[in-house]
Amino acid sequence: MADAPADAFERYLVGGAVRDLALGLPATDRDWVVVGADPQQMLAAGYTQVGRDFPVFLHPQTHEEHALARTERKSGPGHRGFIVHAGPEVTLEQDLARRDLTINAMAQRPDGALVDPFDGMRDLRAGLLRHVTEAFREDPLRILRVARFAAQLDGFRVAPETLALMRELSAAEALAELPAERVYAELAKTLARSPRADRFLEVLSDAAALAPWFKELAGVATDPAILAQLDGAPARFAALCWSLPAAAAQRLCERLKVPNDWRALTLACVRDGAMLARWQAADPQALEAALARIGAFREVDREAPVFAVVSACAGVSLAPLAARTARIREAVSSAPFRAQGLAGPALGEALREARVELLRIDPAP
Amino acid sequence: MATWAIGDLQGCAEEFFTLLDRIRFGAGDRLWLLGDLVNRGPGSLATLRRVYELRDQVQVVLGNHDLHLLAIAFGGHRAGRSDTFDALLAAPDRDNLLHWLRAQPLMVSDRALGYAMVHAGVLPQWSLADAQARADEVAAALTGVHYQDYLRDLYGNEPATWDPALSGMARLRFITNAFTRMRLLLPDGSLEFAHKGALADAPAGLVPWYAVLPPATLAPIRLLFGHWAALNGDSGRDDVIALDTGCVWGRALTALCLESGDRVSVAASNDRG
Repeated sequence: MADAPADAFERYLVGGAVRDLALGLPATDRDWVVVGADPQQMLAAGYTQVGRDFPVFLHPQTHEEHALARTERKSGPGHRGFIVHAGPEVTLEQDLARRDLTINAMAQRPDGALVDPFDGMRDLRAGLLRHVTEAFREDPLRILRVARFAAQLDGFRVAPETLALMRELSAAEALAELPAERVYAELAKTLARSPRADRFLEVLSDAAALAPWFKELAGVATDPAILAQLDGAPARFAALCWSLPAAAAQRLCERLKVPNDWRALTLACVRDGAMLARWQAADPQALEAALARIGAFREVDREAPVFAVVSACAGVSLAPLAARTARIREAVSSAPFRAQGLAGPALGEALREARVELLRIDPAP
Repeated sequence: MATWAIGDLQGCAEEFFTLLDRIRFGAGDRLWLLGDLVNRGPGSLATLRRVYELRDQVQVVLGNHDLHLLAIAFGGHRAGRSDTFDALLAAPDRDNLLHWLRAQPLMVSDRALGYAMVHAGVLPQWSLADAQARADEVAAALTGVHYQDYLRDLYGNEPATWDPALSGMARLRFITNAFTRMRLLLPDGSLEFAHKGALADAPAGLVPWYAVLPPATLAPIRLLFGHWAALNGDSGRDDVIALDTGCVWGRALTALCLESGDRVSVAASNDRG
């Protein structure tokens, strides 16, 4: 196998795979860097090329991604992309030097030997997120990436010099110039991969980097125990926004250009969450209106994501209200009212009254 | 603990290292560098590496040659025949050094110490607080996401006159020219760039910026500047101190101790001049 042409190159496992292996975490994508080869040699050895912006190849057997060692530099003014230089003369160290954090800049030979020019293993053992070089400044999104790793990697903290660099970049308002889509994407990754969104915000706060993107969340400290009860990015985002005034949550959603499901869930929680949490004491008409806004009477379990966030954030069980909502869905339908000749607004009013009635009777203790 | 200010290094690595030894620069000391760390001299890479190693003890302001280097590295400009950046631009650690350099300011002031520093000068119309705010505008452009646009459009002598209503690149260019290139002013206070030589040879009607800087602008602060080697360290004023003693032109590199007022000089290596 070692003699197969595809394995004859000088190649190294790099990035997240090496980091997660060292941390004993489940394997993520295994990415490789190939040193000293050109695209023709890769193709001749049976690799298939997939990269458009830079040369990436799939291994003929494992289908794992193999990239030629490369350097990246922001391209000329007016362009927003990077000039990528890949060639047989680019060294492994140069390829590793363009990475953001030392724990992400380690490489491993196929025989398991570690190549670690930036002391990533030392930082990994110490639980430190440390920038590799000053080129960290090139992309302010890296501030958010550091916060993401702090959320994803349990027990990791930001090295003091990296935090100082992040503060410097924040003071220079570099973050303000990022496109909303990139900021959203980093937030979405964080929330999808880790329940510790509180750490994400804490690191941004330490770096004075909550403004401008997350400024509404300054001073908001979400209990990690609450986040731990919630699955998925939309629910975790709604939990972060739980204590915000509705107008602030709406501004945040608009600025971050979050998808409609995030936005609907978040706004439902901040507008109606307090009432849903104390539903036994709520005015039945207002309660019916809130459930209708969520869409609970249109579609089975439509209320479930909202109830999950409200339950976690308010520390109450909404199981009885969920049961009652399900009963109303079964019991109240438009057919009998139509048979009575009702239509249009009158039909809507009759349905509302029927639901309110069912929310009113037999109030739970 | 001492704070030493040193004028234009311009890649004079050998003299710089000798001077650091001569002043017994130690772990508790601080260094103020007046800009133009690089270019013309033979050791730009070694100079910048040493400054970077000392970065926790160093305050730097950017000079025109530093900006020129950044404009070549990131702004799409080409090196000229007299530029000596080749080794630096080819170095494996170039991005580390250049991105650090890009984050340095155009003006530093320290009230407790009683000093401020700029590379070329402070426009006489500005108060010290105005000047710092203007310098910070350029620093923001240099550290922002669109720094390459700034470095592309940096060059030019226009506008030559300050107007608070200036905006965009014209505003940034004027501020940059005032802090990093200014020497002489026309009677109307506008910048004049043709004359670089000795003051005595300056065309009639032109005055050096520091001659018309109101003393009240600075007091009680004293202002350090480099850039103008032909002055050879003499501004004729106690509160505006010229520190470029022309090392790269074969004269000397000078360090001034800001606490004691001591001056220590190292003569330029004789393989140049």
